[in-house]
Amino acid sequence: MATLKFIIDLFGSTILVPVVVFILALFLKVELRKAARAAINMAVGLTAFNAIVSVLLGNLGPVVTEMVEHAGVNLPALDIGWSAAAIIVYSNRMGMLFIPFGLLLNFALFLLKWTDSFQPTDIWNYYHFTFWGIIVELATGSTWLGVAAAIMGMLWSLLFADWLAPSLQTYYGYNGVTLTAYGDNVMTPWAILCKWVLNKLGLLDRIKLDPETLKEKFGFFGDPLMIGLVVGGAVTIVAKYHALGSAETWALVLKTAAITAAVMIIYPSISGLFVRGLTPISQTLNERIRRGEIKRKDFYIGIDPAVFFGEQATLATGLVLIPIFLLCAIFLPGNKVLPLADIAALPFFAAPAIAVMRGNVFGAAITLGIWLIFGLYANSDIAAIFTQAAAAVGAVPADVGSLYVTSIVVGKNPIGWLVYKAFSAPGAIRWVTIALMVGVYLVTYFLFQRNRKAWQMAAGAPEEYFQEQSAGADTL
Amino acid sequence: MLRLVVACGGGIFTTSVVSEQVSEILKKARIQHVINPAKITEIANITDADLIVVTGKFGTATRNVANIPIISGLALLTGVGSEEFAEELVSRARAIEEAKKSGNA
Repeated sequence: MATLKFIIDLFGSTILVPVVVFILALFLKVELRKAARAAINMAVGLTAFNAIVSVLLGNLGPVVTEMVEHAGVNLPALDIGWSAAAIIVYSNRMGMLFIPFGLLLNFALFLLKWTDSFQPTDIWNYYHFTFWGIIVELATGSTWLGVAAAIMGMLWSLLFADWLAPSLQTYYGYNGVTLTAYGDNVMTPWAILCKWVLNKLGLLDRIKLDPETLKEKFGFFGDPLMIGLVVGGAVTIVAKYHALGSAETWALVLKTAAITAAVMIIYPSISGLFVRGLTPISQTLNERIRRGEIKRKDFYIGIDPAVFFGEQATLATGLVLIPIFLLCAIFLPGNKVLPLADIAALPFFAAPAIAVMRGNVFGAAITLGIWLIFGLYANSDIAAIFTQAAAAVGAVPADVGSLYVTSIVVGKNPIGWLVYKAFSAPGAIRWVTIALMVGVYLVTYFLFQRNRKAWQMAAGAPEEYFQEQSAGADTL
Repeated sequence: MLRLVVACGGGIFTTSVVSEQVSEILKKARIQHVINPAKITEIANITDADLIVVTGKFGTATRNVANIPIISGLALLTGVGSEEFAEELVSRARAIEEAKKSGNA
């Protein structure tokens, strides 16, 4: 253990994470040349990420702090985005551990037919559940509890992936895939509930929003460059409201706006470098399962939510919610989150709501809107501990004052948040809450297995899907 | 030199996966190329590219200002039909190269 700690301290996560991934890739029969190139990309991506985050926090950080302390706008938790959250998670010991261990567990659950969803092809999105494990470990000091919480998250995400798959496939027209990203598919039961209520009120049939018009009107809000300029500039103006007459203030406003926009623009390429470390693994596994190395007749391949992006209704729902979400963040009492990097990602997580609502933008916007309000509070609650996790891997400086970092995409997960609360409850209550959480999962799981078709239809899957499935099974 | 843009929702994960495979296909066919990442929302206004590949199936109907053709690279993500995609990509790339040569002459 002491040697391990010595090695971690000596090399740091920027070197260690790529090495772990490199060894794993070779083990999974990825070509040596590809594995090496992937690891190098990853190391460079991590290094570049640390540099760019320190630029963001070094410039926007003090302004946010000033806004909180002097202007009385209490939004100290800066949303640094899902890609940043992912990089922080994989730089943590548990994140590193979960790349091989989660993979193994995924295989086991799939082969034992506990689930029909094959998640290893979506290995990048492991951070969605590992994130909650990391903060449980930090809160309790117990690695085992953290691992258990992460596994709990994986189990939930596989259940939702199974539940939502037929609906997603038929709505978006992708055969054989599902959405395994936990932070997104967790919305399934909530969307079903919203659909039921809105139907009872007769609102779903009456209110129709046209995706095309919405996209045109709100498209402006989805541009990362604009988001960076607006948020960076606005925060500075508010922070310096007492000195708006001075030229220095306006110089700072422009500089901060430009820097924030620059970071938003550079983010994707840096994250792109980092994920290149993981793509050969998911690709190799994908090829192997397609070649029939893993015997299974019907299954769903886990796929990144990016492929659902761009569909009219999904995009429109996300875009229309951006200004509403920003207003909520500013005016809701008790919210501490300053949305930034994940604003542009809103259309990403509209996919489950749109699939359940079968393209009804109004229904999906209501579903997602309420969901996001919860997301603000959950993120406010976990910002402090997430910042601690980020500082532990050197992603943010240890002393950022009263500033916090968070990611809306990862934090807006009520089940994840409940798992975190259950696994880190104080003292002996913890065992009760953990038992409750496991119990609720098992009951939901077995009820789902028993009423599979009915539940999948409630999530939006049409009757024809199941007829095709059984017809397909007959010919095989 | 063939100039490609690969685009997805965030311009990150699926773009990386598809870009790597597109690059490999073109290298095998000995076609010189550069690949730039983008977001699906940006593809309507791209002007400096010969071909745009989107990772999902959405966006292929987008009207590009410079009339750059847009194709779906979903096959490279799911593995289903990836060989057919490779053939289509190579033939399209060759056609573009030919058109450029005759344009220069």
